[in-house]
Amino acid sequence: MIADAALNGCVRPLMPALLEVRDLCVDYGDRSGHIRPALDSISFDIQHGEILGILGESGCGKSTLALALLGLLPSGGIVRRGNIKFDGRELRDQTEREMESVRGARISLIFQEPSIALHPMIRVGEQVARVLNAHETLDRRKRHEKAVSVLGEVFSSESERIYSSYPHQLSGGQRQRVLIAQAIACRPALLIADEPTASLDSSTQSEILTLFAALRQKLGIALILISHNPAIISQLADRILVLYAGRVVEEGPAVAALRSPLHPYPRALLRAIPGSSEVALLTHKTKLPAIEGAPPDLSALNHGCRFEPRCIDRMPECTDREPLPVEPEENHKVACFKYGG
Amino acid sequence: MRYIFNRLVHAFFLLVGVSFLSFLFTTMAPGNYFDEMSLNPQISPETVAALRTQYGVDRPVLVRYGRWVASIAHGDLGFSFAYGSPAAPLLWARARNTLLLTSVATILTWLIALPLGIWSAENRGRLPDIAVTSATGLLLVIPDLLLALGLLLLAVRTGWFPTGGMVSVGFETLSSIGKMRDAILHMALPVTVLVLSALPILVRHVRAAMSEVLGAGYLRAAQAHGISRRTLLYRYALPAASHPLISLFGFSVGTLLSGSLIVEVVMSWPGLGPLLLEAILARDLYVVIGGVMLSTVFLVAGNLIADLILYWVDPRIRVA
Amino acid sequence: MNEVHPILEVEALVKCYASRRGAGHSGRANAVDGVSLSIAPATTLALVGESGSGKSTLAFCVACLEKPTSGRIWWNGLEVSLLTEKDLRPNRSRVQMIFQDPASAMNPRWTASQIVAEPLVIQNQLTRRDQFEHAQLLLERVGLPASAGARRLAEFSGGQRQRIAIARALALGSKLLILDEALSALDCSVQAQIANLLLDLQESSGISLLFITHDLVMAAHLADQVAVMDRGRIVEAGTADEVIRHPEHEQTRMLLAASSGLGRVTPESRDA
Repeated sequence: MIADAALNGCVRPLMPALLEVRDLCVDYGDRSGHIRPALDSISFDIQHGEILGILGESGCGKSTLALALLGLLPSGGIVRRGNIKFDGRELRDQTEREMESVRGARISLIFQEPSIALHPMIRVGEQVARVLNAHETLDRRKRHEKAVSVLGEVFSSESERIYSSYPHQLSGGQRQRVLIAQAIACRPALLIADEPTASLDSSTQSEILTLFAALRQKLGIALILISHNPAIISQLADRILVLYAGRVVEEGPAVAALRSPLHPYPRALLRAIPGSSEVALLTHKTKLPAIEGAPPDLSALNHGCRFEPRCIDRMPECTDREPLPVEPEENHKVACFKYGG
Repeated sequence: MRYIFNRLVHAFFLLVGVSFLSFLFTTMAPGNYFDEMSLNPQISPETVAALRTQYGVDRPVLVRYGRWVASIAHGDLGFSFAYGSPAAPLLWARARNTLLLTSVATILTWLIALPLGIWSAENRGRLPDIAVTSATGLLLVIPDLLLALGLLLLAVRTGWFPTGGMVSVGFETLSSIGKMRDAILHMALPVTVLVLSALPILVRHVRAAMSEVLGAGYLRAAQAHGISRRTLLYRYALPAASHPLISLFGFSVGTLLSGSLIVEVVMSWPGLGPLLLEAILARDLYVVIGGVMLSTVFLVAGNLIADLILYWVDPRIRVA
Repeated sequence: MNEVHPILEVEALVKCYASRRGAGHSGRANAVDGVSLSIAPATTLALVGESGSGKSTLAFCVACLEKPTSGRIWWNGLEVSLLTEKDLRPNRSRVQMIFQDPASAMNPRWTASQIVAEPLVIQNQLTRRDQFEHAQLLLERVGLPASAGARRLAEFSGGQRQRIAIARALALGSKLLILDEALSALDCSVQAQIANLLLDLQESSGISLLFITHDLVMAAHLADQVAVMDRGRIVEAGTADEVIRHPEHEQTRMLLAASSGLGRVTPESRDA
């Protein structure tokens, strides 16, 4: 019923948010002591059963965000400040042992590449069973049964055969389904999917997205869907968060924020995709309005707005300081001086 | 099954090849048992000549090889001139002891090398790793012989360990627990030398193989599923790293075997080592060849076991 | 020389693999099953299909990197399917392939200008200095900053590596570039930049493109002609406009629906 509420457009919190991220800052330090900021003052909420799309190009900090939430930052990465409150608990205060019992059980992460996220020498069913084993005490037979039934939730048939297959015997889409089975085996409250369809065929892509939608409806799982592709996000998300160079530049209801984004960055991004509007079809073989240049080097930032060097709407004040988020429309925030910032 | 069959056929041809080459080289070596004998003034030249004909020493190499192969069929493995008896029973008794020493050393070496290498890889660049790497580095530069002599010296000085042989005088009178204790004490020194000599290379290989695997995507994925560190290392990373290590297993049997031949001589362990040395000095042709053949069989068996483990561990070989 | 040949012409191309494992999960024998096509000078043909449709196999055959089972291939009137490897070698530079992961075909320790200059070094027609100056010009032409030449491949992003790969093909003087999912791994914003670069190069130097992708919308934007492949055959072909406005074949409609275009943000499709 929570899921239903989420499906009927944007819910306002009737109960406390499932995940509250406040002012999260993450840095990477290398051996020479050089510090490169990766995320700067990230704040957002996720309600139970909600799907949040995180949109951003590579290097903007999307994957770092996913890893930081689970306390899995690679060596050199540290959370400099901020809070990650999940289900009433502050995750930053948890010990490594306590985090192990959160990962996979309460929050699951689905990695980008299904071909490398499965152990090549272990039957995939056994890999699902091991996730169960890490969080629940079940005897061998029960565990097997449960793993098969979890596989049954993501495969329409043949879950026994899939159980005893090795990853190299499965197609990319099937492997991705196994990863999803692992992720939902312990009925987590939150699923984080980092580019879950990037390496898949277009038809398999839509199958996987449909599966996510079905899982949310059936299990009421909240989902963070991370992608560089607005089309993928538009198909599932209730709300979206646009990241640019480690900062949130826009946050709002998916339909509004993707149809008519406020911030110049997502506006330019959408214009650069062919076929994203009727006009594009008529402009066959003409230059796409691409965003020129590349995202800034985060270790050498200027004072101003991070998008300013590539922005077509830039104004004099853009170089003075970074804009603060404002809310020009209800529930729709943007960090740009055009709206006051 | 096809895989196993292929490995067996491979092993068979290897054995045939080695037997022929060792036969060829031993017969080509200058001097033989009867040359030594004819220097003895107490034996008449006629007797020596008669013996030569009897044993067919003067026949062409291929004929002698054929006769030797035929004698294998009888379970004789040729004839020992020095002992005046078929070579096989002599070799068997000694081979058993070598096999005991080598297998205990192999198992122990791996039991120590695996956790040590994994621990080192897990803490790469930190104190435990540095300690393990320097310790193995040190062991690597100490010659085995020096190690054996050092341990012998220790045994003599302290009297904690027997300094030679396999069992004490009066072994038969001991209780079964006493027998076990006695055997273990006798084995302790030679096994220690073997383990210490093979350990550094294995630890380094385990460390290297594990380091390569530790960054893999499926480990990060498993970690994100809340799999504990220990399970991650031993049930995910180790199987993935096992490919080169299993091949190394066959190789380690070889090194430990050749190491044991020397250690046996130094520590007077009644294995193939001392027998082979005696036989070489006395030009006791068939015992030398038999000893070489048995070592080869052990080596091939070690590699076969490695292949079988690989087949069992890696589904990509098993399931096409 | 008075007759204008197509840059590429393919007639009844068939490629079948002996059915061993790894031939794809469907176990089909014919990866490419009787394909004919042609590309006029300075135009683009887009070959669109799912993975396993045979489009990459076709590309490898067309580039003479794989031997077709049967069929004929002409490069600018030269029937390359008849040539031996030795006779083919001097002609190889005419057609270049660019892959999804360009780094897999380049040495990561080399600098960008080394990579681009390599074909010039092999042809050995210029002095060392001219070779590197030429490489520098080409790097600028594909939109890389002047400082890029001295940096190693590992320091570049995916889009920049794709630019280097294109510069290298230009150094060879290729008349036809085969782009095998060359944009697929890139961010949307970078895809647009590289697409613009390709349009630019076609306009300025009349290069022809065989653009292989599963993204029908991007294909239709870049190409003059679009051919849709399914199970080794071309199931629909026509001008980009025709194919995208009046898709006839079911596979074309599926690809169109799945393609990267936005504007389908409807609650109905979200509940699917």
